[in-house]
Amino acid sequence: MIREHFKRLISHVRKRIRPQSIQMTITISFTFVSIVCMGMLGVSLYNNFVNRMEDTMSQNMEQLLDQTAINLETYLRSMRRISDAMYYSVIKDKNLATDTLDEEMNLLYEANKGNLISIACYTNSGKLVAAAPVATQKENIDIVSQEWFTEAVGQMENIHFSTPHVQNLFDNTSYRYYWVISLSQAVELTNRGNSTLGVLLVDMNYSSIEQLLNKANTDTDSEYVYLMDGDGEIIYHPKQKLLYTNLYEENNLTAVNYEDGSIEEEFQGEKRLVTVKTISYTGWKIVSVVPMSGFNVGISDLRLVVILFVSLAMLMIIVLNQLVSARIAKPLQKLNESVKEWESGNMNPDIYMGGSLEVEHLGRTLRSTVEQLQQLMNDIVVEQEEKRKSELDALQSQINPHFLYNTLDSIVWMIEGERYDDAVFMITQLASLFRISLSRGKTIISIEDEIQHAQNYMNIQKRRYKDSFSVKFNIEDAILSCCTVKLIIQPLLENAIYYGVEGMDGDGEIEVIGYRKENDVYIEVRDNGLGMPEEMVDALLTENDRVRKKGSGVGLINVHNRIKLRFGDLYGLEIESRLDEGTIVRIHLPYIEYSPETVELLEDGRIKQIQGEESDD
Amino acid sequence: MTRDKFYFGMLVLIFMAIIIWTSYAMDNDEKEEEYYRISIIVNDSNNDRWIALRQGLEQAAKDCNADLNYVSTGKLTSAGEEIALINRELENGAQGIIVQMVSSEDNVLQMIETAVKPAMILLESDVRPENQYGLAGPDNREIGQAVADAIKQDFDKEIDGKRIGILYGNHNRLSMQQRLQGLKEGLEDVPVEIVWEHSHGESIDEVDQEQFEQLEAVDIYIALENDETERMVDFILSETGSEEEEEENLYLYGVGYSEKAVYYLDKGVIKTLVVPNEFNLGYQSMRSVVNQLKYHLDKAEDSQVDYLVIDRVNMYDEENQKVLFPIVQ
Repeated sequence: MIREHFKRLISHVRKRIRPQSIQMTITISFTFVSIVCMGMLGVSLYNNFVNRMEDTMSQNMEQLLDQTAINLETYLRSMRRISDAMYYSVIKDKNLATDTLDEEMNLLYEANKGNLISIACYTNSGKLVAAAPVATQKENIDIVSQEWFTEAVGQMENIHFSTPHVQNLFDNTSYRYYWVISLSQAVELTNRGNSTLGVLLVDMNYSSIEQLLNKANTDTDSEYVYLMDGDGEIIYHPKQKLLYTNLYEENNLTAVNYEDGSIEEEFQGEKRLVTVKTISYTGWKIVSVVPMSGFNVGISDLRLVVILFVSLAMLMIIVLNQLVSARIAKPLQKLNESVKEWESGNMNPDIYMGGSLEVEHLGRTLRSTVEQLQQLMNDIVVEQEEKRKSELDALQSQINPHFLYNTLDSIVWMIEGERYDDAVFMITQLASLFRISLSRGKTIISIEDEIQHAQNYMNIQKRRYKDSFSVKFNIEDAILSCCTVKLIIQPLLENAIYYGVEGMDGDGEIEVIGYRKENDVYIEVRDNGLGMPEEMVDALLTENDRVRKKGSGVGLINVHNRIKLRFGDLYGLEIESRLDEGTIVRIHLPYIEYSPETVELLEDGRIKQIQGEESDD
Repeated sequence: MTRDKFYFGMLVLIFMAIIIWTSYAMDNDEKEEEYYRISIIVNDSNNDRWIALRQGLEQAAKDCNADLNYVSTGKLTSAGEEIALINRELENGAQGIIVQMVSSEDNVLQMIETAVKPAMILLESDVRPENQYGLAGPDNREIGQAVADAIKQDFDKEIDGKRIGILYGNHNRLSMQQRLQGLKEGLEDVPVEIVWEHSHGESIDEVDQEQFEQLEAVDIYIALENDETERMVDFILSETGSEEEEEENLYLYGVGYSEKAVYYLDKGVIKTLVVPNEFNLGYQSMRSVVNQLKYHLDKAEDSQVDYLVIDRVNMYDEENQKVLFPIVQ
């Protein structure tokens, strides 16, 4: 089934792809190949660039993320160190009954003032032991239920990092409220040798972390970095306030479950590349988000550049193809035109020679071939002409011996019978006959001469046959000056005598009529003899090998062929015959005025030239 | 051959078209997104109470390519002064204006000297005739009602015969009138006595200050505007000299968002504070005005912001503190 379809398709395509001109074939194939190549080149270049860009971008993002993570870890470590230093170097060594923590705590606070809001130490009942900077604690606050306190007491071995919140401990008369991240740990407080539980609180300034992460978000591009804790609670986000007031949403609760590394996700109908990195100790996760759309904006320029260059290249290639193919094909086309001209009948075309070496060679060869052919054809014509001439000569000379013998015999008898006048007449007629027969070797003579020749002949025959038949010549004057092939009437007369009227004892009549009909000339030889059956009439002009019983042996077919050879197939003999009634043999010739020029042309066999001139007239 | 030439011409034309299209697209691509110059005019621009608003404006300006010009103003004394500022900003090439009008009096905005109506957002309070310009603010009547509800909830059955004094600031502003109306509607169904309603014109003058200082003492003080809340706090503190005493005997309900108002809420001087979401106000008004410019709208889209009813107990709730305390460095 599929194979059939395939076959049908192939045959359809084959039908569609007709043979094209050489230029078209070259252009189409070059263009096709170059478009495919340029297209593939463009696509692969584009893909290559895009992949590189993607790689570079995600590498950059990961580097940025790593750098930010390192900065953050360093910062958080230094914060933990403050807490540890306070605990292990100060609180553990102090007996709270006699000593205070204030001095050391202040010192530590002052040293890290930029990153800290406060350091404070509480007993397990929430009573303030010491705080730096020194400040009044707010009334009516419930320390033990604050999250940092419960966390620290809940898991005593760890240092706890809270999410950002507003510090609610000290009274600040400048109306300032600080966003802090609380770092809290359970500590042992020593009071007169007794150990009690306490909580050490280091409140880091949230702004420090914000600044740290803002550095990663300075680009105005659509990618950004945010920070969340291990539960997905946002710690820092470039659009934090918008998140807080629900004007913006983040996919943090899903992202918290991602492993470290890059992952593609779809959030709010937007595809984006998310890279996650977990910060040691705190379990916080720092996340970078690169929207694919922002990415696409970056590469759309590149895409346009690739399209532009490919299109330009293709345009150039197409134009170049056209030029090259024209250069290749034009000489061939010109050569082809020459051949077409030759084909259409111009036997002497101007063969184009030019273009590339091969085409020029072809042209030259063709030109010489044409010349040779022309030469050959001319040779053939000449040869044919000569052959025909010799044939004609042979035919014409066939008359002579037999007829001459008979006539001379008659003349001898006339002289012996002392009919000198008759003998003189016979000899005169014979002389005239031979003069016209010879006609200085020409084949074409005027009808007048031809009729004269026929009359001479008939005069001689009449004497020989002792006027046993009568002859009438009825020729229109208009045709006397026309051309004819010589010695065509005499054989007809001979036939009329031998086969028509020979045995009719004075009743035989032979009539020669000549007339013009439009552009044709007709000469009829009529007899009232025995006539012929129809089969015989047909055979007369077709069978060449008939054995003649009588006469000169010049068959009607010879006359017929000679006329056709000279004047074309339209002309020749027509025979009408009825048994016991008689025969009409009609010579059909074109009307051609007898002049030296026409004679020359006809002698050369250039009948067409005369006809052309006539039709031009 | 003519058909071949036709195809060849078509092919060339197609590639020419692609080339023209790509170069056009590249040319357009290179054009930076347009920046809109937006000026913000508020009364007493350096006051702390605008911190959240300003953060909202700045965030929105960053998000939607706006060039923000926060005009430094002192205390504006009249609508005329404010209009002059608007005119100056427009003259200096501001494309959009976000303004808190000191007066909602009829036809104040007709004094703006531009051929075409400027892209403008009115903050908090509309002007008469209303709805000519985009409005961004809370529902003022609901704010008045929210204050009334807080009072009713606090006093419950003991509200009988309580004497109330109301400060509603600049009575030329429609928003104040709406808040007052909302408050009164909210208190209609309880047997309280509104002893006085105090307000002033476009600025506080000496006469007004004198009248204010001679106001009769009442059980419940209500201030419907941030400045009035602060003024009332100052007044209470100066009258009694100590904060502790006030907590027991004086009841102040206010509307406000400044750090000072929040501080005294924390201290207990203010019993309940209704806090409009100023960050959202700034953010949404900026977006509206940029959208008007970007999409050539006839009028900027109105936007309504929510508000929080905060008392001393819930002010540190996780959700509330995110709105109440601006993150400042």
